[in-house]
Amino acid sequence: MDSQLTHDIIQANKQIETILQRVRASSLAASPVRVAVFQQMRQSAAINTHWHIAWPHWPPGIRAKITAALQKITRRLLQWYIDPIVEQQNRFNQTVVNAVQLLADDVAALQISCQTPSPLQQTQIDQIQQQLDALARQIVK
Amino acid sequence: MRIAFFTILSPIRSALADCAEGLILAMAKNQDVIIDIFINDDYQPDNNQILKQFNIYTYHKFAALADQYQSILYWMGDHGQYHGFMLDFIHRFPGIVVLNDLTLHRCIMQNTLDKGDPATYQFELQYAYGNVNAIDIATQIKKGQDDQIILKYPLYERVVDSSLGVIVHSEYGRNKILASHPQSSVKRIPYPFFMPGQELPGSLAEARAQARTSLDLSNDTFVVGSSGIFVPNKHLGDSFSAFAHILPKHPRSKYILSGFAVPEYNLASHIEQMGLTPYVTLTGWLPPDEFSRQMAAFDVGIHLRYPHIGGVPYTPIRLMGLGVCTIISDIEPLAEFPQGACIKIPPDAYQRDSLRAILEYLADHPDFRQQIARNGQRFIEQNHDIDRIAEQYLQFLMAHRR
Repeated sequence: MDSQLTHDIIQANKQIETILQRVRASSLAASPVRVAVFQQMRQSAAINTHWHIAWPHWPPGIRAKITAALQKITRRLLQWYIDPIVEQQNRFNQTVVNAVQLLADDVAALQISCQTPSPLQQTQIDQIQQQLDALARQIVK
Repeated sequence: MRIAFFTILSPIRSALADCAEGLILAMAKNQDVIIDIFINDDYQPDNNQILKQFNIYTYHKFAALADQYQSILYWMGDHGQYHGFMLDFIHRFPGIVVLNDLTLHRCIMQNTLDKGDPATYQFELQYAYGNVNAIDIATQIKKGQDDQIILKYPLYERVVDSSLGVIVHSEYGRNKILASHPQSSVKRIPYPFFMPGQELPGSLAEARAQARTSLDLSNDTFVVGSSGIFVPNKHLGDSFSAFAHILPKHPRSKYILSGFAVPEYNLASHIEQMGLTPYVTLTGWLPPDEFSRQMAAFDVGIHLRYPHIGGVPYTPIRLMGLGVCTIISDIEPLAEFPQGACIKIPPDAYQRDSLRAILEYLADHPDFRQQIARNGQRFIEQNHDIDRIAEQYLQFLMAHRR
């Protein structure tokens, strides 16, 4: 191939690879499994201090009402102690979710970059290919 | 040098027939070469130029004439009815075999097992792969697992062993044969770019204008096209999906399907289900010259192929040679076609989305589309020129004379 054609092909190649990489990146980000997993992680990351002991409506029955009242009193009494711990735990959980998300994005980016050689790698591949061709020609001779 | 050229010729509906005719004509330009053609006995060739210029015999005549030839070229493919008659001669009269398909399994199976000769089929398999169960393999092929089985058992081994040399069209093919036959003389010679029938009009722009007129397409219509025999592994579903994606923005677009679908593939129903009937034209089978010229009308030609069985598809060479921006599958047999001279889509989970994005970009950016088309046309001009390729064939034949 003449050098002008090689140059034109390399220029066009860059544009094509950019489009293909963009598709891969957006497809990975929008993958239904990925979206569902992160949604679940986010939902379960935040812990509610009042979980199961809030009793927004009184339960039926005298015995159940007494138990609920005792739980409400206990919760209020321990609120000063539990709330800061839960808030700390929530902050940590959120940080973990964000870190996992960043790691997943990095893995996706790595997957894409692994599929395409860098310009330096491509040059090395071309050089090796030329050497192989030269060797093949010598063997044929 | 006198050459016996075993081949198929038109009117057989195969790109291999057109391509062989072009190659024969180009090789015969060399004054020191005389070519006689040997064909099957079940059809009459109809290419006037070939009929006028060459002696054409049925294969029955060859044994009596064999001593006259310094070289025998077998233009071989994997279609039992078309190429099966060459098998016996390849072993009896060794020459150069061109493996246009990187498998001969179907061809051998159709000429042995399907003709009630399981013993020979078993012999061919045992010769190549040792103790394998021929009936089991044949059953799997007939159940539709043919691509995987054929890739595993390509059955070209005895043909390669019997030949003085082998020509293939890709480095992938060459390496594959050398891996099992390191002592064989295997050369890669690319397919030549050849247009059947009359010469093309003066410029590609004129060819494009003529092709568009014949299809009743205006100059500003965005035309996507696919050509050949349509089978499911050409992924037309993804091509249609990409085409449907650009329609809202480019409502005057057309999709031309020049060719025909195999009977088991209900292409018309597929098009209808996608609501594309008003935008798609299915031409059906066309004579070789009309078929080839029609491709010039396309702005973008799509020729996906996966899984493959090792052969280099010919249609992308025609499309690129005609200056059409061509989209192909990124598969091993097409490794020599650089990304940028055409557009190669990896056959993976992102194929559909990639094709959509690429087609949308090409529809929106005519300059980029034309750049790819120009690159492709120049690439074919520099690497698939028929006269230079004919010369490579003659050099290889000369080096492997009988």
